[in-house]
Amino acid sequence: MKITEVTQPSEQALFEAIDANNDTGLLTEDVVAIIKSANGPWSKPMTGDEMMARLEEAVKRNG
Amino acid sequence: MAKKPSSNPPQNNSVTFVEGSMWIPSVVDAQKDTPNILQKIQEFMRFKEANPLAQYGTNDKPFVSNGIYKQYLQKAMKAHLTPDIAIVYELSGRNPTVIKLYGVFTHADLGTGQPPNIKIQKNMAKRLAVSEDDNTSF
Repeated sequence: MKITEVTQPSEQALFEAIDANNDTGLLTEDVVAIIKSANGPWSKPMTGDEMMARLEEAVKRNG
Repeated sequence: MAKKPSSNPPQNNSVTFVEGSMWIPSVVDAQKDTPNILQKIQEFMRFKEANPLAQYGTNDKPFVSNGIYKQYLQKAMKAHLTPDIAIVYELSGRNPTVIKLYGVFTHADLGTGQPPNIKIQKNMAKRLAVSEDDNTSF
């Protein structure tokens, strides 16, 4: 067994563990996705204005 | 003896934002049910730029306090943007402060308001279907 298999539960195991104890008020699938995204990647730092411009563009593109 | 004023007066805490992989997709998704979500996000960012440590409303709290989540999300915070949409973020550092933006998410215990939240209702339907299957297997 690899070390990563010991330290990182499978996605299914993680989902079940979170689902059994989910008191965050959010959907379990969202909590699992948040946990998975916590280790990055993260974007370069942006100012609030830069972030808003990026969001507006993304919403326009996908709207 | 009076202290001589420093030649380098302290500057305001500079705040920047970084986005995780879920940030843009979650905002685009939330915008379908909540058209004013961009305005709410902007209000949140303006507020945190001014004082990142201040609470954004009474529900700006650590995302998790104990249990299984603590090992994964020790510093994450959750604040309400609307009655049924919350932003999950994390503060990092002090002057400069970096705010990690995870995403905006719907509350699982809501979704039946006006307009109804389709994502939550689909999720509930999926769970009910699974539980029905479990019941009929006996």
